[in-house]
Amino acid sequence: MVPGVWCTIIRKAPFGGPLEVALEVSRLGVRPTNDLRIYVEA
Amino acid sequence: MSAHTIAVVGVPNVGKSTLFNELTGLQQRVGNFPGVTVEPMVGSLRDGSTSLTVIDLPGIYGLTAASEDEQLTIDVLRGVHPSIPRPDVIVHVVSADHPSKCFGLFAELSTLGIPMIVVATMVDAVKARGGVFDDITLHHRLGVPILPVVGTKGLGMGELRDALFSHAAVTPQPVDVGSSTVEARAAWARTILDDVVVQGRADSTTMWLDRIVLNPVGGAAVFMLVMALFFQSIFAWAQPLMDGIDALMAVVSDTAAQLIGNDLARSFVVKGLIGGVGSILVFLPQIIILNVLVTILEECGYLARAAFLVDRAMGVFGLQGRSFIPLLGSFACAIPGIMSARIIPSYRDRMATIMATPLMTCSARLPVYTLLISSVVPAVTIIGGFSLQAVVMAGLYVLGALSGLLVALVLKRTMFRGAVVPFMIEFPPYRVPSLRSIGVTMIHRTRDFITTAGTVILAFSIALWILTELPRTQPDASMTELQQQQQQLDNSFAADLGRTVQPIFAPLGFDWRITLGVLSSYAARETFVSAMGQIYAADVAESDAPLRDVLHEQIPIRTGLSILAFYVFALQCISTMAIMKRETGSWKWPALAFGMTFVMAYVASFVVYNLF
Repeated sequence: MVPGVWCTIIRKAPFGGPLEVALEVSRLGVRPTNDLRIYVEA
Repeated sequence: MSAHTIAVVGVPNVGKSTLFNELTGLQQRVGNFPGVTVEPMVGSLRDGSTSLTVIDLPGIYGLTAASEDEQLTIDVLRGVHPSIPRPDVIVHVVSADHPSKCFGLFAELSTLGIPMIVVATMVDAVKARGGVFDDITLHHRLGVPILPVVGTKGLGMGELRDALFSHAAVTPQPVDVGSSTVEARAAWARTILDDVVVQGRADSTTMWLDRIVLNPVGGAAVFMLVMALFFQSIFAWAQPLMDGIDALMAVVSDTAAQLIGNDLARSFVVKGLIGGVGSILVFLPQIIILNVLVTILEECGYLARAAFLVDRAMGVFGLQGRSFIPLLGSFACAIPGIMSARIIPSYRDRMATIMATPLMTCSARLPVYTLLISSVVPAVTIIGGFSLQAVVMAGLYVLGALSGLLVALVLKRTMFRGAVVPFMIEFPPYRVPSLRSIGVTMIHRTRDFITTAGTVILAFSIALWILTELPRTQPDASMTELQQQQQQLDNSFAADLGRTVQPIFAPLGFDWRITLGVLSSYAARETFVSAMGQIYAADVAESDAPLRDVLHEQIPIRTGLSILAFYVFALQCISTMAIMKRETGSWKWPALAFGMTFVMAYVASFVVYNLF
């Protein structure tokens, strides 16, 4: 995962937990922080 | 070129540890969990008289570290690590199944000037889904040998061994990606992969399972079910085995007692040595079951999903999702709990978790709680039909868990304060766990426990024997065996110690006998019950009932509650301290945990004693 990469948000963990994102063939659990932000395109 | 040291390097979860096991035959854990190799393992590879050293390094994504584990790998590769030599050859492990995450690292490794061999794992998974992995084109593009392998089946391992012994590794030309940014390396990697890999069908089984396992409702239900099974199995399945070990040790003790004539020698062998060895072995069933369960959860791919589900809840206390497993395991026993903290890649999170584990209510506290609650808490029903004794018991569990999490929170905000390591965890595809890996884990952890914690436990057991059994008292023949034991204890160094130390515990309501019971349980909590039995000369061999009645008569309720409060917090387990030292590499941390929990126990006990 590098800055500017496009990913697809699959779902969110319960109780406001991390996001599951798909990045090409990989799927990741990611907790956004100040150093790691995901921008959503409407 | 003479190659002596070979480093196995790659991004997390591409099968490095599996490859390492197959290559060296070393017994090392293999986990389907990103970052499972949190400390380097070293093995050797022999061909006749020639021997190569192979190092399995923690996974990295590049030569800029995001955690302490990654820093270790980078230091080794750059040749600046104080104890691990710079490798002569790099075996760069890439996943043919997930190549896009692997080849950016090759661009960085190529700048080190170290001969390399690229090993592509999981080629079978790509082909099974109708994909293509063109290793010949990749060889021409990278200029180093490319060896496809299937690590779990041992396919391609012979070719890899031959390549290492025939010095087939080649120093690649440094890859010029235009700039030093991650984006540039990723863009370069994509141009390589376009020519080399054709992805097959998506892994539909994993996607189907994840729709349930990661669903906010279904996932929470599966999580609760798995954890209930996990918790129950540690308690229920281990108990018959622990009882069996106890029975076996009793037989050994009886046999030794009959064979040894000298009173002092018999006491030393039976109570000091056999008792000490028994206190080590009795933990093994819980350790084995916990590690087998954790390995199965890791290898099948569920642990990464579980960490994802509970990350938010753990985040409230400054921890991350991975901390949940060690803390949960500590409800059975802190020892395997602390050992399983290895799955946490962040040093600060791992240390905060380890420091919190002794406060989880382990199974050794249970006999103490049961005895004291039944002795001093009235057996009455309160509002809602609940038993007051059961409510107190549940309250002690909750109090222990909350205090552990609060300790972690305080430590994360003070001693282990630092930049937040972003929580990012890859979901590996679901796999059937390897029996070999489970077996290796079991043997490795068991051996580790016996050789490190076991020796310390035995030493303390002998020290405790000296305190309680010396100086010897001439037994009064008219007394029962238990009364003779009480007489011995009354005149022992431990009794002197109890009377000397008692003023410190006087504000908590402890007399010298309770003080002695508490002190004797500093080797292991559960010894409190037998120590109190000896001290009060009540027959605890057949049933706890007589001791319970004696304590009910002799210990005021506020003193009983004060002792309970003390046991909720105090770190009274030499095994835990020994394993804490083993996992943190220093006595500083167990000493700090001991001091911190003693202060917490003392204050809580003092407050409770003066409140009631």
